[in-house]
Amino acid sequence: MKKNILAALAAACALALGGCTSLHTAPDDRRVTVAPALGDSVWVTDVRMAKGRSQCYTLQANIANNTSSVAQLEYCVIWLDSTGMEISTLLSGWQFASLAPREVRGLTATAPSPDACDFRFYVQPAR
Amino acid sequence: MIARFATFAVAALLLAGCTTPTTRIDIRNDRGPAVAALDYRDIKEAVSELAQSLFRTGRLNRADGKLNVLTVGNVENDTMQHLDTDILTNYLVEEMVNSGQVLVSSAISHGASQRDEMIGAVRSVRGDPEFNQSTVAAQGQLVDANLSLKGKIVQRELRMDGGDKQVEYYFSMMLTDTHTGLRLWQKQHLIGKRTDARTPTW
Repeated sequence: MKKNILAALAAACALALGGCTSLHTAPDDRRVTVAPALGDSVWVTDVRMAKGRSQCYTLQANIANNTSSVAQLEYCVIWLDSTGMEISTLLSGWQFASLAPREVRGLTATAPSPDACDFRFYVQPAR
Repeated sequence: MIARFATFAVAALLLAGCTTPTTRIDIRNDRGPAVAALDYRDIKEAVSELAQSLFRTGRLNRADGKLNVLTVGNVENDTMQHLDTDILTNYLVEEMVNSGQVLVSSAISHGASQRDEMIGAVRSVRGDPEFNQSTVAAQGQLVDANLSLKGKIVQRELRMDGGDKQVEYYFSMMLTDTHTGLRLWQKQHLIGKRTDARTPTW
């Protein structure tokens, strides 16, 4: 009887810990690079791309400030063509973003040409 | 005499030590402080926002599959700064051309800098026996524009409660269908700065 209770408790603890782990891990997307200096203070989630009425893709990503202080960030989107080559454009400049504590904000970026079919999204602390 | 020379030499050395050495700007990763006037970073940001807005609308798609032909209209500088608006226009037109959806007419434009006088010059030899006439541009070859781009940059200055100054720069651009006169796209991008009241913005 005692053994059963202990086993049940252990299983419950394992489930609870497992739940915590899955909830508090930064999403892993090879297209997204968050500067190591930001650690887990900022996450980029829900990255998606669509064309809508345009011939050019528009990227949308949520950026989450996990801290209780204002996060001053810069982000940049590099667009790649079908061969994986970077498309040189002014649209790939660093953009400033200031996030309130715990704020989650949707960021958008539109590709410079219909040739752009992939991207790399970079986030770093503001200068 | 020697004392006077030594004083002069020391003063010259001190003054030389105060000068800032000239360095190149890394325009892709510029860590320099912001300036109250418009600098290249502001213009690049504005162009990026304007171009993304235009491309997102899908208004450059043509049902007949043909490319748009653009003429560049007037971009007015309503700021306190001496700013050649071609800097803004050229960046934006470059992005439009590179998108593969637009060609630009060098035959018709508001400003001379956007026109190529050689288009007329090469036609001026029509009928000249010194030129092989089969190599001279025939009549009716120039293509008229179906799109027109124009805009304005506006500067506003406001005094804040603490005595500091707030400077607002509005970059407005619009794209018009020249055949119908209908405006296909319009976007205004704001860049705001706060600075000391004594900081000049011209």
